[in-house]
Amino acid sequence: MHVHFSKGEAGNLNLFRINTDSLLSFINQFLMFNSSALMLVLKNLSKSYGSVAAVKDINLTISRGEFFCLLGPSGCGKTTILRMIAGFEMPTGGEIILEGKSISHDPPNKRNVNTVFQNYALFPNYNVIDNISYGLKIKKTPQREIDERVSEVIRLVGLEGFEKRLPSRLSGGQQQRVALARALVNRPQILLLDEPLSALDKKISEQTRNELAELQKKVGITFIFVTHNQTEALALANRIAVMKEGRIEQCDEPRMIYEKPVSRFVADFIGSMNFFEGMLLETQVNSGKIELPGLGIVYLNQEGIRTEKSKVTYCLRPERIKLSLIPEAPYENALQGIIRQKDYLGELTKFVVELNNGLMVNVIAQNYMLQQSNEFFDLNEKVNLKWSKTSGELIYV
Amino acid sequence: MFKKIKEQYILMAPPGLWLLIFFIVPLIIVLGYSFSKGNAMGGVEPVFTLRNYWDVFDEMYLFIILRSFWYAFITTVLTLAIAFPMAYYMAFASEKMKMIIMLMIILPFWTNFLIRMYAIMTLLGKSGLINTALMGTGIISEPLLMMNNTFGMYVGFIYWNLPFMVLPIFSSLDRMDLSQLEASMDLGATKNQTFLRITLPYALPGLVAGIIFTFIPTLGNFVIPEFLGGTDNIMIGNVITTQYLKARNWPFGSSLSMVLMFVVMVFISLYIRYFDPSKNKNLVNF
Repeated sequence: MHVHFSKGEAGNLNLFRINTDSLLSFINQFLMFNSSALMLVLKNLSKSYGSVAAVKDINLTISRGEFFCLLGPSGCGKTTILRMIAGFEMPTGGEIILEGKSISHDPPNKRNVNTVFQNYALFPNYNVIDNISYGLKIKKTPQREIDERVSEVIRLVGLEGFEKRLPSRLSGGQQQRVALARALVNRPQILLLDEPLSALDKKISEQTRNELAELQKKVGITFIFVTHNQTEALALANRIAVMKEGRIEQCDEPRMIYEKPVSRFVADFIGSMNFFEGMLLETQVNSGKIELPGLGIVYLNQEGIRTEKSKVTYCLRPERIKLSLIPEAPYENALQGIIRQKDYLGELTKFVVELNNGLMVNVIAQNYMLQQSNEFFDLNEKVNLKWSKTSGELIYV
Repeated sequence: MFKKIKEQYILMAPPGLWLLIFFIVPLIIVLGYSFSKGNAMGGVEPVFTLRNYWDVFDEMYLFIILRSFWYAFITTVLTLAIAFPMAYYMAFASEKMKMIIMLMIILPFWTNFLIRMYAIMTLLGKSGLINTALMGTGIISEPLLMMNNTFGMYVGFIYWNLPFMVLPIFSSLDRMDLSQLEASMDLGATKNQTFLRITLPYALPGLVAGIIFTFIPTLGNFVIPEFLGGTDNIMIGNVITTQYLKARNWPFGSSLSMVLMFVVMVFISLYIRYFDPSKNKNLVNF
């Protein structure tokens, strides 16, 4: 029995690659029927619990077929937004407009929106088939159609052979697939996913992440994905809304979120970042001169730097900095420091370098590159930190 | 493996021995009595006879047995009707509220059963608290008869059984994940559909336990009909008690007990067979 179980699990890791053309064309037709590109609009959406505001005046437009991600630390209100879209929480202000129709106060069973819950919330007394067909049976779908749609979606998520299993006899990854299938089989206008990968261990979670992205492309349903895991968000989403304390800090494509953070919070939350408090001294065409007190002057060659003098936070990603014993080139900025910590992490080495003014800076180097250039740095060694003048971001204080 | 089995035996020995001495052996003695002959002195003569069983199939006794089943059945239904909403509320209440209700349910157990029965009598009696209050406020002019009749008996039974029904249902529902209710609604079900298809199957093991815990002790109870019931509420438990303690006819009392036990066993095994809590998934299905 156990052998069979683990074999089934391994065999299913390649799911979502199965031919599903018929289902896909059907779903696509279904979605094309209403051709407006704006799927979901959140207008001044707010939610307060007594005097505590969980969600503050959110404005957001999500397009059809988009893989949208709400990202933020716990308690930032991202799950509350998801629950309001699903109908489990009623907004205390603002509107939720789905396909041009306000659904703000409809009960969950009146919305064509389905949810994949964080803990999956499978019905323990029902087997896989009964779980998946639950929604269709409630809607009094003819049995023949139920059978067709359920077996299609089972193929789609790769649960063949597990039809009669109870959820308790499935692995975490398989349970997640059942939850996904149970929602998708209803062909919702929007699929809401509440941290669906957080309960899986790392390997399975990464595997499932890829499968999820592929699945979304195939079915073309709008996905709204809530997570606190930046890697998941960056890998999956078309757009990410980074949230903090009930507000959206930045809403943009993953690349822009990572490379052009608009606030210190976003810069700090996504990836790791070195922050330098400084002063923007002068600006020429596409170039700025920044004074970092106690450290010196750095230059930033970028478009769109403000012209007026102002206090700024200069941000620099650890992987952009190069450790070196050789002086900098004209196109590079440089600072001197002493290596205080060195962590070997397999593919990378993480250095912590103390600058002249005592500031600690993180530097990440590819071990392969270090080996190639035959550069090895020791603790307490004095080094040059160099980086291109095109690297770095300014956040205006 | 061998060692494990050995440990199991050691652990099982004390309760096994206890059951053997205080359950199996007395049962065998009662079984033996039921086939023996009683004498005028109230003693038991070791003579084999089926006479006692023949006497059970008297119209009067059969009627009392049937009536006892009826009372137990009605009691179970009424208790369930009160207990289920209680357990449901409790399971979904806050942790603090859960503790308070739990305490309220368990607290009466700290008082002697008979004292609680007398307390109920002071409530329901002709010049009891309820009647005094109702007459004092002029709502009624004559005292209501709430005791020494079927009504009083049911009040007693429900009061006595309530915790045994509430607690198992509560413990079933308490394990339920609220997100399952949300999932059901999310998939298009109304509140009623969610209750029938998700909540009820979840509560079923507790429900079955509660029904058994209520039905069987009620069936054999003799104290509550005595205290709160009327003269026409005699149950089979009362008859058995009378045979043992007053009529001093132990063999006949024993045969009544054996018949009752046999009927209960048939009933329970049928019940378990068709409502097996471990296979409840098919009971409330589409």
